[in-house]
This record gives sequence, structure tokens and C-alpha cells, in this order.
Amino acid sequence: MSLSWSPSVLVRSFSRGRNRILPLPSTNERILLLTQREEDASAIHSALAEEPGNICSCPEMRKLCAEIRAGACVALLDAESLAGARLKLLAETLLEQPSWSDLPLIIIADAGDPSGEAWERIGRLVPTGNVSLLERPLDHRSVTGAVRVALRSRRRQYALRDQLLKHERQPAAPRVSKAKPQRARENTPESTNETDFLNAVINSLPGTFYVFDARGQLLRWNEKLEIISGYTAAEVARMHPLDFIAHEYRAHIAERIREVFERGDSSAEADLLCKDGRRIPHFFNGKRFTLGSQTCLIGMGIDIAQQKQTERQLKELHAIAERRVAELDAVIESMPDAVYIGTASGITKCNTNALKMLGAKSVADLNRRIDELGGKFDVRWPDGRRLRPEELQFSRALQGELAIDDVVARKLDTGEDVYIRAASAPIMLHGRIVGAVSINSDLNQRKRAEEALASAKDQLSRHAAELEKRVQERTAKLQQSVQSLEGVLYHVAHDLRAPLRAMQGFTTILLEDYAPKLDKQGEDYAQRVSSAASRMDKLIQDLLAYGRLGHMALSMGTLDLNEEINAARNRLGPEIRARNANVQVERGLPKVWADSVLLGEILVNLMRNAITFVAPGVTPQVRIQAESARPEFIRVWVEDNGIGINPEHHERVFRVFERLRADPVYIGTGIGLAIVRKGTERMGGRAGVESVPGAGSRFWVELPAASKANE
Amino acid sequence: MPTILYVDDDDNDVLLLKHALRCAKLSYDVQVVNDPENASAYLNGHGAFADRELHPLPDLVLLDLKMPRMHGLEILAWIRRQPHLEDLTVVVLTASNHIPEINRAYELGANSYLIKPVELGELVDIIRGMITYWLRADVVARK
Repeated sequence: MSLSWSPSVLVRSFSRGRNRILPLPSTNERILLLTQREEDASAIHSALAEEPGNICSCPEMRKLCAEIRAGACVALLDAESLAGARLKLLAETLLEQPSWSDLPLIIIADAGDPSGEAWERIGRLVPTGNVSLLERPLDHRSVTGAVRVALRSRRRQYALRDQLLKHERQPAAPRVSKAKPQRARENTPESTNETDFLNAVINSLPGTFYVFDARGQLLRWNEKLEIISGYTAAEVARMHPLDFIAHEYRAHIAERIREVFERGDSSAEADLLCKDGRRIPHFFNGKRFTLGSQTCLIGMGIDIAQQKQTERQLKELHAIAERRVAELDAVIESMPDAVYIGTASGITKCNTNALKMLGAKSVADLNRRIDELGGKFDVRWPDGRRLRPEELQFSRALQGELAIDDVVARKLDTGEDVYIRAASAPIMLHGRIVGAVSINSDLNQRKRAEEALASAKDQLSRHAAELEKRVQERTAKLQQSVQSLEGVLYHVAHDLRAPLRAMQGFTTILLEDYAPKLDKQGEDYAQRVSSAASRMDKLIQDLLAYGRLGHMALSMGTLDLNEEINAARNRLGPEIRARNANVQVERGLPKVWADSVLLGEILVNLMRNAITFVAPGVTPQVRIQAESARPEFIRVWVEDNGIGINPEHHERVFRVFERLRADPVYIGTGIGLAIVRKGTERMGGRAGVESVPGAGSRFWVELPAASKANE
Repeated sequence: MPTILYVDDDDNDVLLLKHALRCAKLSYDVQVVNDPENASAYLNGHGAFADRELHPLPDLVLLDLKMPRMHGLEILAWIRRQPHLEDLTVVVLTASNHIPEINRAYELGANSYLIKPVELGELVDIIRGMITYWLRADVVARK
């Protein structure tokens, strides 16, 4: 490899239009020292006190590396400092050293340790340089010896460097003139002017300018690079081109650089990394050219921050626009009506509803000139007249009109007629009509709904009529069955009683007219037949009365309880007298709301019940009184001194034929109390009993109180 | 002797009525027919009833309602349609105390409506009262 570079001479800045020679790295044999141990430092200082050269103590690896870049003869450092990243940093720094450089490194390590970690670390440095080992404890002689060897080695390197420099300086002048061969020839004596001109050109470039060799040594650059990056000329001189590149781009740029050297040119975009950490997007290019014997990369970096930002903004704008379009599409699609948008040259946007309504497969079917499209569709006025293309709502909207009409459109695919409310409006932008939007609502659905409604109404009224008919039929049937029930009752009354009359009548005749022919027993039997017939007649009468309760028409009215009770008492007169019963009725009883016949039946039955069921030899005592029960109701109490009823029978006594006593002493049909209950219930009241066996009973009925409301 | 035409299909009732009349110490000629058709034949003097000596026109008709083939009310209505029978006294004597039927009987022109009692004594009372009232010389049947 050709070693043609010297930082001391060739590293120039083009600033201020003149070549500036950078200070040479120290040749005064600086000895760099990095150790974490105090005793190392003091041993070395005392050992080298007599030696030439300055000891430059570095507190840490970064400082040591900086000093190496600044120039040094030898570096002493302890093995402990070579851990991890620090070792890597040192290796990289050594790699950056000029080609002639092979910096002697003296590693201080514990004796016997080299088998361990330290050795491994040192091993990693070996390929990069000139490494020797100094074992602890550090004695005067070994230190001075090692350092002297190192210094000698370094001095030889300096000598080599100087030779190289001499060699380099000579081709340097022709190279500058070669850049402008023609001008150079014309102005050979003016070689200085030529350089100035070149410098002026380079410095007037709009971007950064750089020339570097295959090893990455910057050979030339312009002032702009320093201004933009913020590095001084001296710093630039010691930097690798990749130092100017933001980390994430470095691999990429390194690849592009390799490309230049291999194929001739390349370019890339990357962020330029400034000294203060700022990043500036750049476009870099590079071209291979040969400078003397050396292959170099020449190129320029253009600040594309503005462009990048513009690009970004454009991208954002584009994204916003896309989002807007998507939103608009979504809005259009979500509308329940058929929506389409377009110009005279065709429909460019529509929703699925529009495709369905028009019977089109895709918007492409609709993207034709409107006059042509109008011809394709069969759109008619409700009276059947076909719309001329210029009559179409969409066409009129394109002329600036807000057009809303009900029309009939025939679907393209099925030929089905669709009733449509077509509403079209012009789309205005900056005062100009740029298109039209059409919203078509399907009236078919409404028509169908109206039809469905009408048919539902129809059906409903049919049902209502049917229902009414059925109700009438049922009512008639019911009436019929009531009538037939009454018929049955009538027959029962008539037919059952006829034989009874005969039995009763003829036994009576037997007893009266044939008494002399009957003995005592015969007379008794005839008596029994007669009374049995009487009882059976009574039973039938009661049953009939009970049966009639269910369906007899009531005529409710205000009734005076005292009057009604007196009437009932009169009806029962013979029975009361026969039993010598005492019936007391409280005076001033309230008025009730009831049916007179029914109330009479109820009272008669209650009283009869009260005077009937008394123990033999006991004079029946009956007390009738009344009180206000629950609101709006009057409770009539009928109290007797009878035999009483067991609580478990309190409900049974109100049922038909539930006679508790088989004893003939207690004659009754067993229907009286059933009539009482059923009768009160029919009038909206209720009936009950309070009783203790042996202590009499208190029957009660509750009837609606007579009031203005129900009069 | 006044004549009573008794229209009833029930022989027992016929016997009992005759007994009641006897008990009431009333002597009448009781002509009995056991169905409405015979009643109309009797009243018109047709067939077996042509001889008015044997079957004179009655002074009073006692009419049961529930009879085979024809209802008593039908014969009542028929009687009232006959001009010569317009003023004939017709008393319904039946077991039914069915109010609609009672009303219907009066509508059709019954002079009275009596319910057959079970007790023989009651029957005697009723018959006595009824006969005494309707067949008294000073009771003027409606015109």
C-alpha cells in the first residue's frame, strides 16, 4: 500500500484561502502513562526521571486515546485498564494512526498473570501494534529498559515518516495543477494563482467538499465542512470520514465508500453528525479518482434538511389527503341512500347502495359521459315520460341547479323499476362548479311499507270483524245455553213436582178420608210419605232458586235494611211463630246497595238458619244488627243462640247440600247458606260466620253501602 | 150447574182437582181433556164433543201449560183468536213458577195464573178462592 499521507504537511484547511500547516504532533518523545495503581505511577516516574521525554499521565482511556491522536512516542498502561469498551477504544485509536505509525505499547501486569485475562486482552492489541509487557513489581532497570527500547522504535518510525513526507511534498504541487490541467498549462508560472483559484472554487461550492483516501484519511476539505460540522481544521485533520456520519448510517456509508473505490462512484443520503451532536440530513456523493499514485474519493455533501422537511411535509399532506378521502368514502358508503359524485365526464365515486339501486356492477359502469349514461339508463317521470339527458337531475346539478324529483329508474341488471327520489346538487369550489353529487332515496321501500301497512290495516279490520262475529256467536251460544239451562230448570220444576203433588195429595186423602181403615202404623207411614214429599218439594224449590241466582238479572238499588228485614221476617212469620222464636232487629240500620229479591232471599235464609239450629228445648233468640265494615261496605250480623259450628266447618256450611246434622230435628235443605253466599257475592259482597260450638253463631254478610256514587 | 173445562195430561192432578172441589163443597160439571188438541176440539164442538148436551161450552177453562205435543200457551193464544171464545175465562193452573212464562200467559190473555201447590190443603184453598171469584155472578169478564 502506498503511504503518501502526512498530517503535518498535507492536512490543510482551505479556509481563508491559504494553505495552513497544522502543528506537528509532538516529536519531543512524550511518554503517555495510564495506570490505576499509585505505586505503578511512582515507580515509573522515579525510573524515568533521568530519561528524556515528558511523562503525560492520563486519568482514563479516553484521555489516553486523545493524547495518542495528538502525538506520542510510547504509551505505558496497566493491564487492568484494558477491560471491555476501553480496550476497543484503544484498538480503534491505534487503527486510526497513520500508516507509518506503530506506537509502542508497554503493558504493566502482575507477574505470572499473563496466563489469565490480562493476556487475552493484550493479545487483542497485538495485531495493531508494538506491544511489550512489563511485569510487576516494577523495578528501575526493567522500566527504563523497556521505555528505551520503545523510544528507539518510535524514533525509527519518525525517521520513516519524515522520508515519506519528503516524497509526498514533491508530487503535491503538480497534483493541484493537474486538477485543472489546461489552465495549469496556460498559467504555469502562476501556479500559486491556480491554487488560489482552485481553493476559491472549492470554497464556493454549495455543500461540503471532501477528498479522502482508501484508508479514510481526509486529504482535502473545504471550509464549509468545518462550519457545518463545528470541528476545527485540526480536528477534521485527525478524523475519519465516518466520524461525520450519524451512527446508524455508518455501515451504509462505509458500504457506499467501498463501492466508490471498487466501481467508481456512488451516492447516499445520511445524517451528518456535528460536533455538538446535531444531525443534518445530507446527500453525499463520491467519485473515484487517482491523485498521483493514490486512489482517492472526491465528493460533495449537500444539505438536504430543507428538502427532507419538505418531503416529510408532503408525505404528511398526502397522508392527510388520503385519510380525508378515506373518510369521505366511508361517509358516502355509510349513507343509507344511493350516493354518487362526478362530473359531466362521468361518475367517479359512488357507494354500494348506488350500485345496487342502479343495478351496476362497479363504478366503472357509471364512469361515462353523463349524456351517454343518461341514454343507458331508463329514467322516467312518474307519468311514464322518459327524462331527456339534460333533464336528469345530475345534469341539471352540473349546471348549478339543486334538482330534486321523484322518478322511476329501471335497473340495469334486473330491469326492475325502482321508485327514486333523486336529489342532485352542484359541488362548488372557489366559486366554480367542479362536479355534482346525487343522493337517491329508494321510495320502493316506502311504497312497500305503505302497502304492507295498508294490508295490515285491512287484515286487522278483517280480524276485528271476525272477532266481533265470533263474540256474537259465542254470546248467542251462551244465551242459548242459558236458555236451555232455564228450560231444564223449568222442566225440573214442572215434571219433578207433579209426582210429588200426587204423593202428597193422595196420602193426604188417605189420611183424611180413609183414616178409619188405617191402623196407627199405617197412618204413621202415610204421614211419612207426605212429609217426605213435602221436603223433596222444598228441596227442588231451593235448588231452583239457587240455580237462578247465577244468571238472574239484578236490579240494584238503594234499599233500607230495616224494611227488607221486616219483609223477610213477615215471610218467615209461620216458622218464627211455630218455633216461638224471638227475633230482635236493631233500629236505624243503614241503607245498602242491593237487589231487592236477592236481598230478601239472603235475609230469609239467614233468619231461617238462625231459628232452626237450636238445641231442643231452647227458645231461639236472634239479634240482627249492622255496622260499617271495610270502606263502602255494610256488614249485617245475624246472631243466634244455636248449637254453634266447629271452626273446621265454617266454610262447609256455605256449600250446597252441606248439612252438618243428619238429625231430623234440624230440618233444612242445606241450600239456604249457599244461597246467602252466592247471593251476596253476586252483589259484590261476601258472607261468613264466627261461631263456637255450644255458644251460638254470628253469621254476617257484607253488602255495598248505598252512596251517591252508585245511585 | 156451571161447567169447568180442565185441560191437563196428568191424571193425578185431575183426581186431586176433583177431590179439592169436593172438599170445597163446590159442585160443578168438570169436563176433562188431556191435551190441547182435544181442548180446541171441545171448544169448537168437533168430533166427540159435538153434543153440547154432553159437552156444554164451559164457563171457565183451567189450563195446564206443559203438555205433550202442544204447549198450553198455544191453546190460550188460539182461544183468544176465536171470536166466540174471546170472553171465556181462562185460568192457568200449572206447576211452573217461571216468571217469563207467567208474564207471557198474561200477555196472551190469561185471566189468572195459579201455581199448583204440593199440599192438598193449599190446593183446596186456592181452588175455592179462584172458583168463588171467577164464577160469581157479579164478576164481569172482560170484553
